[in-house]
Amino acid sequence: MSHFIEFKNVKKIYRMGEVEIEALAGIDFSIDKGEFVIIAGASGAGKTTILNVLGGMDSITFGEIMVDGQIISKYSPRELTSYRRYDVGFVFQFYNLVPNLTAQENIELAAQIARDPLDVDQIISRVGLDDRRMNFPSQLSGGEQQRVAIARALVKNPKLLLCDEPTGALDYKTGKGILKMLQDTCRNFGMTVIIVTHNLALAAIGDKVIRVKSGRIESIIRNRTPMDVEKVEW
Amino acid sequence: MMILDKDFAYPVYTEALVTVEGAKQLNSYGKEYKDLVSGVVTSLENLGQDRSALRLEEIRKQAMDELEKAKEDFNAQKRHFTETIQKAEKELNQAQMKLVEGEAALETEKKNFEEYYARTSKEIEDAERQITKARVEYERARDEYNRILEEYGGELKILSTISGGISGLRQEVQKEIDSLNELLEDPELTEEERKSIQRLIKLYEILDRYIDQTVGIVVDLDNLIQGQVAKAGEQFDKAKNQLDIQSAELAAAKGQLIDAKREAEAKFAAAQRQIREGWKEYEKGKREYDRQRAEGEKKIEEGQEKIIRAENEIEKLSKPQWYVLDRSHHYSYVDYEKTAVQIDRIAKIFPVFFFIVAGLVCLTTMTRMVDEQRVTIGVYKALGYRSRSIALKYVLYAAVASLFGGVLGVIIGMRVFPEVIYKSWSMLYTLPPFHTVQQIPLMVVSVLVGMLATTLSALWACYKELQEAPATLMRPKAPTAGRKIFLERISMLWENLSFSQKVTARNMFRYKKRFFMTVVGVAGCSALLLAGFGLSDSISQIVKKQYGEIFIYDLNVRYTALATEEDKQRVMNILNENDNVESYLAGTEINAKLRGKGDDIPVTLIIPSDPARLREYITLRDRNSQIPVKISDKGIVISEKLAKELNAGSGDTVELDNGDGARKKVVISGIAENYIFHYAYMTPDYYNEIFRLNPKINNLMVKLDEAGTEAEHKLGSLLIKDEGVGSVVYYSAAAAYFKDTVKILNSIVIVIIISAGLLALVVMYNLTNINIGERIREIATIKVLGFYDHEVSAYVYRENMVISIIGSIAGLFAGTFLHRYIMVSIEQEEVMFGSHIDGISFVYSFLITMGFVVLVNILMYRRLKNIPMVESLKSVE
Repeated sequence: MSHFIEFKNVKKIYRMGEVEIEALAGIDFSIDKGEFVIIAGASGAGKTTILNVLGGMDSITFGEIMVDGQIISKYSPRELTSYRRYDVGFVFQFYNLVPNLTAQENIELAAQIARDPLDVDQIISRVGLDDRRMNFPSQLSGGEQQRVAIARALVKNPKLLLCDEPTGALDYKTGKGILKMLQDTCRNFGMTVIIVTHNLALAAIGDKVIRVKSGRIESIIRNRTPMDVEKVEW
Repeated sequence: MMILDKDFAYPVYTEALVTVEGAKQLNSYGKEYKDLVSGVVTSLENLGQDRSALRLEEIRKQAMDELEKAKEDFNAQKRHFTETIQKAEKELNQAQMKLVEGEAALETEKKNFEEYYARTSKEIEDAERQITKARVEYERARDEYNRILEEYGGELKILSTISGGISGLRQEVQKEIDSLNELLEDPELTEEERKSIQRLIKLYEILDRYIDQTVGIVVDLDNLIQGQVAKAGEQFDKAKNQLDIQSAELAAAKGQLIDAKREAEAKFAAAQRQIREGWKEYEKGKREYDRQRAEGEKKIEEGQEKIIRAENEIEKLSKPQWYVLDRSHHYSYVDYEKTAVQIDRIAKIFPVFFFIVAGLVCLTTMTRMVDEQRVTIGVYKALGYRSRSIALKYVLYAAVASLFGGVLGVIIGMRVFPEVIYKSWSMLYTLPPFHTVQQIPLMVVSVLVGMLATTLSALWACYKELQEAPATLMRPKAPTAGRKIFLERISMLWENLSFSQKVTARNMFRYKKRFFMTVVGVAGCSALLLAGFGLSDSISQIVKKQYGEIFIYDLNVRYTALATEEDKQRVMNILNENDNVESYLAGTEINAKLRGKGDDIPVTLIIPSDPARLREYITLRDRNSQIPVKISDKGIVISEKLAKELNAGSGDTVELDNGDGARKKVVISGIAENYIFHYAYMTPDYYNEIFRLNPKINNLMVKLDEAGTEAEHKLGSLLIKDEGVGSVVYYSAAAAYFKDTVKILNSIVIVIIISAGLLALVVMYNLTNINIGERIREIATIKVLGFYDHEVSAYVYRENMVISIIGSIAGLFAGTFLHRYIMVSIEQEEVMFGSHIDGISFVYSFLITMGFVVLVNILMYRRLKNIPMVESLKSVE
C-alpha cells in the first residue's frame, strides 16, 4: 500500500554565496491519510524546510516527494501554486490574517479560489466564531485569530493541513484549545494534519512523531495511543 | 544704405538719437537702467514742453498758409473748370441746336419739295390729261371738219360757180353800162333818149351795185366759207402743232421733274448724312464733355476732401507731441520683454507644481528609505544611540544626496533650458550671442529648496519611526489595522460589490497617506501633461481658427498710398485674368486706434466696399454660440480680445481715430471671435456718417481656387511687380510665421511632458515599493494560499490602478484649471489664446499617465513574483 505522503531521500541545499548549507540532508518518511503527525525538532533542525517543501512553497534539490500519488517535487511553479491552492491548508504561527479583512472575509478570501470550498458559515460555526465574524483581526484575540486561520485553511477543503507552530504565539490554555481543534478535525473529518513544532511535549498527542535533527530524521515513532490534548502538559 | 546730408529734404530735424551716459553696461530690462534713463527722459520731456509750443505755432502758421494757398489754387481751378465746362456745355448746346435746326430745315425742305413734286406731278398729269382731252377733241373736230368738208364740198363749189356767174354778170352789166355810157357820149341823142339811157345806166348801176353786192356777199360767203375752211385746217394744224409742242413741253417738264427729284433726293441724302455725322460728332463731344466733367468733378471732390482732411488735421493740430521714447517704446524691445515675461510666468507656475511633485518624491523616497532601515534604527536605538544622532544619519544622508542632486540639476538645468529657449527665440529675434549670467541666488535657492524638501521629509519619516520603542522597531512594521470604511455603511452598494471589489475598496482606504500621495502624484502628472498638451492645442488652435475659419481669404493686396483709379483697375484686371482667383473684394484697411476708458489701442479697421459680401472673406461670429455677427450701419464690430482690452461691450460707445487725425465716437454693435491682432469692422455708410468722408479703397481681399504657398506666391509675385501694389500678404505665410512664434512655447511643452512623466514614474515607483514592502507578509500569505502570480499582482495592483484612475481624472480637472491659468498668464495684448484643449489631449494625458502607472506596475511585477513565500513564516516577535 502506497502512502499518502512519501519523502524519498529528500535533500535541500541552500547556496549562500560560496557556502552550501544542507538544510535537508536526505530525508525519508511517509505519512498515511488521516494521520495526525507531529514533526518536532530544535530551531534550525530542518523542520520548517520540510514544511516548506511539503507545502509547495519551496523546491527541493534532490529526491522525491509524493503526495496522494503525485510527485510534487517535479511540479513547475505554476503546478505548485495549484497544489497549494487545492490540496494544502496552512496554519501559521502568527496567523497571517489579512489585517484589512474581517474574520469572515479572510475565510472568503481562501474560499473564493478553492475548487470545492466548504460553506463559510458552517466553518465559522465549527471554529466557534459566529459572533466574531465581522471583526477585523486586530479586534480578535490571538486564539480567535488562529481559529480564523484554521477556518481559512479548512474552508478550501484541502487534502492535508500543514501547521507551523500553531500554538507558538499563544498562551498555554489557548494553545491547547487550538491543538484540540486540530486533533478533532483530524479525528472527526479524517483530515491529514501535520504540525511542525519545537515543543517536544506535543509529541504525545500525535499518531506519528517525526523528530528532526540537523537536516536528518532522528526518529519516527508511531504512537499507538496518542494522548488527548487535554491531558498533555508542557 | 547711406543717405547724404543734402538729400534730407525736410527742413527740420524730427528725431534725435540719445545715448545716456553710463547706461550701456546696465541690463536694459533692469531697474537701474530704467531709473537712469527715466531721469534723462524727464528732463528731455520738460524741454519738449517749451519746444512744442513754439513748434505748434510754426507749424500751424505754415499749415494755414499752405492751406490757404491750396484753397486758392483749388478755387481757381474750380472756377477754371466751371468756366471751361460751361463753355463746353454752351458749345455743345449750340451744336445740338444747330443740328436740330438743320434737321428741321431738312424736314421742311423735304416736305416742300414733296409738296411741289406732288403738285407739279399733278399739274403735269392734269396737263397730260388735258392734252389727251384736247387731242381727243381735236381728233373729233378734225373728223367733224373732214365730214363737213366732205358733206359741204359740192355746195362750196356751186358757190364758186355762182360767184363766177355773178362776176360774169357783172362784167356784162359793166359792159352794158360802158356801152350805154358810150351811147350817151353820142350827141344826137335826144334828151329823152338820154334820159332813158341815163336811167338805164342808172338802173344798170343799181344792178351792178346789187350784183356787186351779191358778188360781195357771195365772195364774202365764199371767202367766208373758204376762209373758214382754210382757217379751220390752219387752226387744226396750229392746234396740232400746239398740242405737239405742249406734249413735248410736258415731256420736258416731266423729265425735269424727275431730274429735280433725283437731284433733291441726292441733296437730301447728303444733308441727312451731314446731320448724322453732325450728331455723331456731337455725341462724341458730349461723351468727352461728360468724361471731362466727371473727371473734373471728381478732382474737385477729391480736392474738397483733401481740404477737409487738411482742415481736420490743422484743427486737430495740438501741441506737437515731444516724444521721448526710451526703449520701452520700441516694438521689438517690448515684444521681447513680453515674451520673456510669458516665459517668466510659465517659469513661475510650473516650478510650483514641480516642487509639489518633487516634494512628494522626496517624501516618498525618504519614507521608503527610513522604512527599509527600520530594523537598523531599532538596533541603534536599542544600543542606546540618541534619537537625534540616529535621525542625523538619515537627514545628513538626505542632505548630501539632495545637495549632489541639486547641484547636478542646476548644472544641467542652467545649461540645457536657456539653450533650448535661446535657440527657439533665435527663430524670431536676432539675438546677440548667448551670454550666460550666473544666477547665483537662483541656484542657491533651488538647491536649498530641494535640500530642504528632502531633509524635512527624511526628518519627518525618521521622527515617526523614532517615536516607537526599539522593540517595536526591530519587528517589521505592523500592518495598519483593518477598519470599516465609509462605503460599508451604504449596505446597498457594498453588498452588491464582488469580493475582490470589496477587498480593493477596503485596501484603497487602508493607507490614507499613500492613497493621498498616489492621487496627488498621479494627478500632478496628468495635470501637467494636460496643461502641456493644452498649451500646444490652444496655440495651434488659434492659428487654425484665425487663418482657417475666420480669415477665409488667401491674399491681402494693399495698394500704394498713391495708387490712382487706373492703377487699381489694372490690378483688378490682373486678378480678373488670373485663373486661380476665385473672387476678390475691395475694401479699406485703416491703421486706426480705439479708445475706451484707458489708452489708445491700435487696431486694423476694415471697411469692405460691399458689406454683404464680407462674410465670404471674413467670418464674424460669436465664439461661444457660433452665431454670425452682422456688420450694419448702426455701429462697428470689434474683435473679442479688443473688447476685453477696451473693457467695452455691445452697445457701448468708444472713440475711433481713423488714422487721419479725426477722432469720433462710435457705437459697438457686435463682438466677433478673433485670436490674433485687433480688428474692427464697419460699413462704408457708417464710416461716412461718422467721418463725413467716403473711405478710400486701399486693399483687396482675394480668394484663390487653389490655395497653397506655391499658388499664392505665383500670383503674389505677379501682383507685387505692379506699381500700384504696395504689399501682398499671404495668409498661409502669416500662419506659418505665427506657428514659428509658438514653437517657442512648444519646446516648453515637451519639457513639461518629459518632466511630468519622470515625476510620475518616480512617485509611483516609490509608493508601490513602499506598498509592497509594507504588505510583504500579506502578499507572501496569499501566495501560500495558492494565488497565481497574476492573481497576486491583481490583488496588489487593482487598488493601485483604481487610485491612479481617480488620480488622473482629478489631474484632468486640475489640469484644466492649470491650463486656463497658464493661458491667461501668458496671453499677450494682441493675441487671444482662449483655453481650448482638444478632446484627444484629455485622452492622451490620461493614457500617458496610466501608461506610466502600468510601467511602474510592470517593473514591480518582478519584485512581486520574487517575494519568497517563506516571508509568511517569519516571526513577528
